[in-house]
Amino acid sequence: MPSGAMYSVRMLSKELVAASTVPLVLSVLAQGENYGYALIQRVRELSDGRIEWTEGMLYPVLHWMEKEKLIEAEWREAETGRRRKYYRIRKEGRATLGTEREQWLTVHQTLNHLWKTQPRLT
Amino acid sequence: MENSAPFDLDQALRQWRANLHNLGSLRAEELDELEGHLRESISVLHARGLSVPEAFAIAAGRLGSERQLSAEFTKANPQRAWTERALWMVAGLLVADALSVVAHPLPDIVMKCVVRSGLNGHLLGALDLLAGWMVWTGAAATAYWFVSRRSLRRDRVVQACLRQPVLTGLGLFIGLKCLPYLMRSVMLLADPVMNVFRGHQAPVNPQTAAILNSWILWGSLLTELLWVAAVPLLAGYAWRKRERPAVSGSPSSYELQPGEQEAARALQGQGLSLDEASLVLVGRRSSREVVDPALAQVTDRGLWLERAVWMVTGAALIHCLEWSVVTPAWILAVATRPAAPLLQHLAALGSVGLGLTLAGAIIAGLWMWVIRHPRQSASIGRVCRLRPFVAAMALVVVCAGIGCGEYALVAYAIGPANNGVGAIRSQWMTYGGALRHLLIPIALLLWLARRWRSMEADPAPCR
Repeated sequence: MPSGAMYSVRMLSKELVAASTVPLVLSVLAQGENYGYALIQRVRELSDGRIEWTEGMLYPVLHWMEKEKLIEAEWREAETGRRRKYYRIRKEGRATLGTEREQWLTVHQTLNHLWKTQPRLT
Repeated sequence: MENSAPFDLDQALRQWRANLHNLGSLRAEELDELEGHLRESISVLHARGLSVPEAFAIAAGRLGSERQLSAEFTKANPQRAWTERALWMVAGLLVADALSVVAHPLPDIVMKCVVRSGLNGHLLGALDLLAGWMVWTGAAATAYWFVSRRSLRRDRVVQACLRQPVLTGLGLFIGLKCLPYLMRSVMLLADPVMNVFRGHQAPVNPQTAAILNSWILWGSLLTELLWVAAVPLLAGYAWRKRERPAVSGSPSSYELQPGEQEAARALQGQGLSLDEASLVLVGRRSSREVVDPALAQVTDRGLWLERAVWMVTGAALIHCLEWSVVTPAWILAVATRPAAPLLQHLAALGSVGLGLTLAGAIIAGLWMWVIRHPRQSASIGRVCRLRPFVAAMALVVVCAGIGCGEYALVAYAIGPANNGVGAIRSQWMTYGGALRHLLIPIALLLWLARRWRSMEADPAPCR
């Protein structure tokens, strides 16, 4: 499928998507437990479609986070009758989220300062 | 806009799941989760006005190609994928051993027929080598024919073997143990026939015998190198066979016609990307099954090719270990040749132990490395697949270097004192060989099969 050039202005780069996956997942789960499909939809909505995950790639990350004890998971039956695996953030996950938040804010603030003094950079 | 061909969603999902399962890096629970995701995604897209096949194609595309998914899950859980690969590697080693037992008599027969005919020694040596290679090529062609057909019975037999590792191991052990005796009796039966062909029984010229011996030595090194080179070449071929475009046809075939821009914008309003909208519209225009690309099967041939890659890798790895570690370990025994029998026994035992320990340590080290560094090992695999010729040349140069160095070492160590192998040493060589070629591979096969089975049975927590 043609991709890349058409989206390069709007879409996030692959590297940035990869780096931001864990903080994004942790942030969504910090608002309450959720399952894979809804989690992806939530991120897509909030980013106005600019953060586009290859959906299947989220699951290995979720399982890795589960193994690292950042989140925990439980199979439950949803109201539609479907079985879903719900993920919930753990204490360790909240601590990691705090650190991630500080780091992302640092990058954000630094760039902001730079761009304020050089408004025509773009 | 329903497609005219009947579409069975459950059947499509079963096929999709089976394809992913066959790639071998996802557990049942992970497949459950992905299937749940896919169903959810399909129902949302269907509710937005896409037909079920269209929704399936788009949802499966969003989830990612089978190969992408399998690669990501392998990175997250390398143990599972490598256990299955190791299983095929050990199986490949056993098959190669069995084949070499079966293949052995043919060059032998050719030799017996022509060795006394007074032909040039070099010609005889080349003939012997070629006869050996022809047997291998024939065996490979037969194996390829066997695996590239669709055969439910064969798949059922493989599945049953994997379910019953102990019985399979026992059967293999007995079968492989009997094979040499079987071949020997065939040779005995064939002897009267051979005598007719042999004709006049001229004695073998010692000069010819020496030339033949060097042909056998260098020929076996060449054969080993071919084995090693076959790994990346086969991997590259398997990759090309397996890798198919995410959608059938070239991207340009998904360009929209002028009248379709409006419909594409409407679909984009439903949350589809431009690519996805084009895919749907082109499918509608050509009334082609838009679901085709998502469902294109991981073919049997592709699957078996990949297994064949691991089988050849296993055989090549063990051959490499054999002449880079196990054979040099015999220097210990060679060094004590003139000593008392007890000392000779001890030294030979030490050689067998040293060779096995070193080989085991190398294998264990490799295992730890691929488990701990999935990304690095994946990039080596990528080099093999994308640049098979470069990888083959590099491997051949390295292995030829080791082989020649080792030959020089052995020639230096054994050369002057080589007045017969010695009864004690040859006895221990036989034991060591049996241990390496039969007992250890079968023990490994059993262990890996059990491990693999326990991973397979890993139940979903809610079941």
